[in-house]
Parts: sequence; C-alpha cells; structure tokens
Amino acid sequence: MKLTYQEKSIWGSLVIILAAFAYYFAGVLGGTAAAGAAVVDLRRLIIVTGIIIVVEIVHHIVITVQSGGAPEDERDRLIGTRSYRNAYFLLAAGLFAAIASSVWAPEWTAHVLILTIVIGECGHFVSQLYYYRSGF
Amino acid sequence: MRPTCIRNNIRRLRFDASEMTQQALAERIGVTRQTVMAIEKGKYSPSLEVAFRIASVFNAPLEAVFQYEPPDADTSHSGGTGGA
Repeated sequence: MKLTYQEKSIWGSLVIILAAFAYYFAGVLGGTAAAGAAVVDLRRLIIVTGIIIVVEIVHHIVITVQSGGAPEDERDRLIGTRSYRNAYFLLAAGLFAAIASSVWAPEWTAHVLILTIVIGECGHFVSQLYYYRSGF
Repeated sequence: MRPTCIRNNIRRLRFDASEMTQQALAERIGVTRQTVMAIEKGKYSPSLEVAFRIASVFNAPLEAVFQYEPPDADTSHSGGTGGA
C-alpha cells in the first residue's frame, strides 16, 4: 500500500500521540495504584507534550525529505474540516463524561479531560485516514 | 464514500492531450495527484475554480469536461424500467 505524504504525516502523528499518552497513562495508573488515589502527574504530562512536539518535528522533516512534501490543496482542507467535525462529537462526549466524573469521581476529572483530548485528536486522524482511503 | 453526481471526461481529455499524466495535470491546476485521481474516479467534486482550471488546461468548455447527472437519472437507468 503506497501512502501519500499526507497519509504518512497522519499515520506518524497518530502513532506518536498514542505512544506518548500510553506512556503518560501507564505512569499515572502506576502512581494511582501506589498512592491509592488518582493523581495528575504534571511533570510527566509536560515531558510527554515536549516529546510529542520534538518527535513530530523530526517525523515531518524525515517524510518531507523522503517524499518531497506536498502542499495542502482544497481536498486536503475539506477532509481536515470534515475530520474536525467528527472529532468534535468525540470531544463533546468526553466533555459530558468529564462533567459526570466531576460529580461522581472528581479526582478523575483531569484524567478524563486529558483522555478526551487524546481521543478527539485520534478521532481526527482516523477520520482523515478513512476519507483519504475511501475516496473523498 | 458515496460517489458524486458529477461525471467527467478528464481521462479521455488527458489521453487526447498527448497522454498527459495525472501528475502533470495536477501541477498545472495546483492540486495533488491524489485529488486529480479522486476527481477522475468521480469520488470528489472539485471547486468551481479548479473545474475551470481543468477546462482551461484542455482548452475546452466546462460542460465538455464535467456533466451533472442527477441521482434520479441514475435510478431510472439502473432500474431498467425504461420509458414508453
């Protein structure tokens, strides 16, 4: 399966965000088990965010050198817009989950919000990949 | 993804234009080759601006490149009930 520049970019971003937040949540769950209560590991969150930025920059430099890059055209922008619309529904669902969490399990609210952002972003990437593959 | 109601003759026009490649057409109209491919297959309806640019490349009127086929027309054809 030959991937276009845009697809390589999206696949890379998807893998990076999943790996980075798997690392973050593994640490949080470990810390939570040790402390006996949900904890927000702010230090780890800042490290993960920094890692994502650096790896994203390196990833895009590599694929641009490999494939020569490709400026966005109207179809790319339309796919991006549609994908953000799909991600919006995930964000809205996550927001309601966070509200529910703030009532029944307030110590988890921050984690639910972080997870919502991650799921929303993943939904955006998966939607883009779907539209690129299925034709749009 | 549902195909669009816009049919086109881009493939034939490319062939007639000294077998112009999708990449060459894409570069001339300022989109990616994937977008040209999606337009040719009828999976993506281009903006009016891109449609005019394509027509201009082939030096043809817009309706010689793109034709609108309403969904009802498809149904009547595929239904095979025919007319009077």
